[in-house]
Amino acid sequence: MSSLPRLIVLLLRMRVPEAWLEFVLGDLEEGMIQRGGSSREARRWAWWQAIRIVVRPPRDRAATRVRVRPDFRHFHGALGDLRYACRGLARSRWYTATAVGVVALSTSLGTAVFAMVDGVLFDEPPYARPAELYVLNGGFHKLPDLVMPSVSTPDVTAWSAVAGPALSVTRMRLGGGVPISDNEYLRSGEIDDRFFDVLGIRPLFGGFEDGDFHDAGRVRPALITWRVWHQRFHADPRVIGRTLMDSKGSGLRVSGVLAEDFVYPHPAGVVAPEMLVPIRPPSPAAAQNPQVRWLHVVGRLSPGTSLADLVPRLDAAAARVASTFPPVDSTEPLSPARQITRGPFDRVIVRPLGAVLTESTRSVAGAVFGAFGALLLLASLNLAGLAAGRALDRRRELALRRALGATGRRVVRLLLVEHALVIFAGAVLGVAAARPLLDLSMSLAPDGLMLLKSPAIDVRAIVFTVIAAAVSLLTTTCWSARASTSVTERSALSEGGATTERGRSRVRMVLISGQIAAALVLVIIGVLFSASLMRAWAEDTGFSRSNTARLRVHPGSSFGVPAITELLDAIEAMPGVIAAGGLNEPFLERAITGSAFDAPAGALPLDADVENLAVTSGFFGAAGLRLIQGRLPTRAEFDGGQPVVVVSRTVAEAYWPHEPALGKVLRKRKQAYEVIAVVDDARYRALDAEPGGEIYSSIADQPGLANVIVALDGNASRRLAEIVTMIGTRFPRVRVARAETMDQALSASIQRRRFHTWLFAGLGGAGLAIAAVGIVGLVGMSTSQRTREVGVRMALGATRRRVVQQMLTEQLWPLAIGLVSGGILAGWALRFLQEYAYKLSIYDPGIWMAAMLVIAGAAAIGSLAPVIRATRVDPVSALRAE
Amino acid sequence: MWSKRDPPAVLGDFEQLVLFAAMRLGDEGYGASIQREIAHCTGRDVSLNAVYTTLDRMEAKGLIRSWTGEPTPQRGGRRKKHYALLPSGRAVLRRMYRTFQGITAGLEQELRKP
Repeated sequence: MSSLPRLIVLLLRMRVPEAWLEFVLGDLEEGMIQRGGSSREARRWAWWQAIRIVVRPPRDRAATRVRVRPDFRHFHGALGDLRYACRGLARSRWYTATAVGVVALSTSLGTAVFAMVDGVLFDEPPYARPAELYVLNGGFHKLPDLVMPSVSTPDVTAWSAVAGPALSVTRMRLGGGVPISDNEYLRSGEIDDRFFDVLGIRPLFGGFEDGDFHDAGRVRPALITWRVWHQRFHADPRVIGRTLMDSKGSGLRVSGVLAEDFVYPHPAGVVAPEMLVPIRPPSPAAAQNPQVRWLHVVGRLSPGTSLADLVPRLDAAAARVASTFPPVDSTEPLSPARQITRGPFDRVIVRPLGAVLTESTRSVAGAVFGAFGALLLLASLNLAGLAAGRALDRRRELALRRALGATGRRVVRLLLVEHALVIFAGAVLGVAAARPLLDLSMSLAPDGLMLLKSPAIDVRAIVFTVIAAAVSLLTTTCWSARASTSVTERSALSEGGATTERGRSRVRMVLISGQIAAALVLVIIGVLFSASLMRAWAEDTGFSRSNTARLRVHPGSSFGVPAITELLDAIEAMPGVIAAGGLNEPFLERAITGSAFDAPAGALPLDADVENLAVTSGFFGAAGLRLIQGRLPTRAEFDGGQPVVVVSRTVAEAYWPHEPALGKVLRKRKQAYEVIAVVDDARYRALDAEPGGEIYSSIADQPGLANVIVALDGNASRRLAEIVTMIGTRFPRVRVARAETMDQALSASIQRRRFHTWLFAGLGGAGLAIAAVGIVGLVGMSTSQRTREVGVRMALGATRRRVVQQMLTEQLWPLAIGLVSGGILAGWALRFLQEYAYKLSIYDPGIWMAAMLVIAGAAAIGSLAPVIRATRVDPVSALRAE
Repeated sequence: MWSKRDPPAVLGDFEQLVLFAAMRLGDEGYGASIQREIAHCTGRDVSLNAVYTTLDRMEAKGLIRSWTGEPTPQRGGRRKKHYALLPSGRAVLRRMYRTFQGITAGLEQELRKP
């Protein structure tokens, strides 16, 4: 009985010519017997020999000599096709490198983009039956677009009562920081006892007990997030019962850990909490006051309940609450819109939770995904162009094969294998590059970015990549197969490739125009975002940007004015520090704390909130605020707590529109404060947020320190490091959370804008590069096919300049068609991105002109290089070329 | 002028090995036995595929001839393809051997040095 493995026999039967097969099998059998028959070593030897023979089988010379039909053995098996394709690609290195590069670039961007937007656009929120979940908000018929984020306890009680079992609601709110040491806090989300039941989720382990929701102690039971569990507790499973608190006894006791995919059901753009604690009203009285809106409400609609039936009942409940609503003080100088929002709700707005969660992310995620779609189209057109060009270059070879008996199907199969190889290689490279690209993108992502799941190159992303690659493969193969099989054997063999077919130039025009159009859309969007970022960056902040720095500090709760003064004096005494000032408010963190000062009678309404900033006297000098009128407060006045204030220009003009603000009096809780100076407006919330108006009062009124502003002399980074070291040594209780130059702080304040710009400018840049490569390839292909024509022209006396001019003029049509169609597409697409343009119109002529010039420049460079190369040939050798 | 029909002036290293092995085996040279002979005499484990390709090429150059043998039970009842040197092949090997002898004459002492 034969000891040769059957599979070896089968493989050899497929590959080895009949004339050799018997001898080869016999030799293998004999060799195996010599090595011990079916021993492991013998089998290994046989397999090794068989593989070598399969890869390079012996040839049948006799058959070669008498052959009447061509040997298309390579076409018969997939392995043969693969070998043929590999050889063909190895011969055309430029084509292979370009095509693989284009696929790799588009795949890496596509995979990274999909991983980012998957949670927002395609995946469901991580709750049970998420389609049944809704967010309930109050609204006003007179302001149909306004959705009030929070509601009061009486509102929720009334809404729940009318809905009955049709709607189960849970109440929550974003709480403040809960101390875990003297200068560290965790952001909390407060939830009621129905939270997990309504959302249909469970913690990873642990949970609240009934008593936790009535516990008013200083140490609060908390469910920490998976990330906090890992970062702070190193994923210790015995974490339950651990207590973290400050020296005053306030803190938290770990009651459980939330699941890794937990998403706090709050509208996007808000930094997610790091733990959940049982909800507590601001005060017992506030809990019953319809004017105190402090809750967010999520409800689950019972199966079979219609939203259309429920909403009118909820509106009726809102009307009942309105009847008990206290009258609104209409004497306050508020804009009409703000007067309305101070009043009772007259309608209830019910929106699907999934849509609310991704509200601010969805449009940009959709736009990014759309932009990627344009890039994929561009890459497909590009590949199709390159492949069609290659097929046309090889049309004589392919036609010869067909003439010798290869069917059209076999030729298409060969092209398919070749393109599959290119796309596979590019996709593998692209997926490998997607991970670092995704990490880089996420490092630039803003804190409050709601993605519903952590971006990762997971199975979904890989499946998406495979689908995108399959689409590219199909497009590319169809196009090149059409190009190669549409040329008849006779025409391909007889024409000699010397003339240009009209159809071929039409195809080229479509490919070039399509690429220009897709690239233009991407570039215009990229330029719009870049211009918006630059415009925001160039805004006047109102305070000094150069040689200024900010330290975000957490000094603990009992850090009074003397301690603040001591800290600031110590900083000021350091070499290289010109001035230091303290601020007990958020700075460049997009937060508004409002003002307790009463507006004077006769004040003009302001749309934005006036901010009351508690500062030290050194703040004005350190921040470099521009003084407009009056004098800045002395140390004795401000740090000593005298009743004086400084107001910004907007406040001065709105509060006292017809007279100077100096010497006027502002009241806060019946205490009178004299205005001693007016300073210029400043952007404290963010670089791209308009100043709302500020009232600067003494830090003695609201003791505490959140930010230290330092004016430095020279090397800011080194000086900052020295300051942090000094604080760590001399003031160990003060934790410095961030120390950054003003430019870094300003840059961080427009993190979201920077992130969007990075995404769109990246896609635009990639689109431009792909289009330029595609144009070089297509124009190069066309010019190389016209070498003979160029030779004839130059032999007949045409100058090089004239030939270049004429060939470039021919590219104007595809350029014009591409620009017009791309412009129309971009005009439509940009309408969805209006909100992201900063003080710019989406139809800004400068932006459009810049984008078109960039595209035209890339097209010109792409066309010029091959055209010049074509005209450099010697006319005599050009005529001999075919 | 040299033509394809003329025996080549120089053979490659592996071609020499295959031809010398075929010479040693006389009429008993076939794929497996030539492979075995090379391994036995030189310690080189060569692949059957390389042996086939070289034998095929040498036959095309007119240095060896081939014929089909009888089936044997050791080979699962399969036949062998035998090879034997033709006078032209013998002449090429002789020339190669003499060249080798000539160039290495008197170098025995030198070659023994480390």
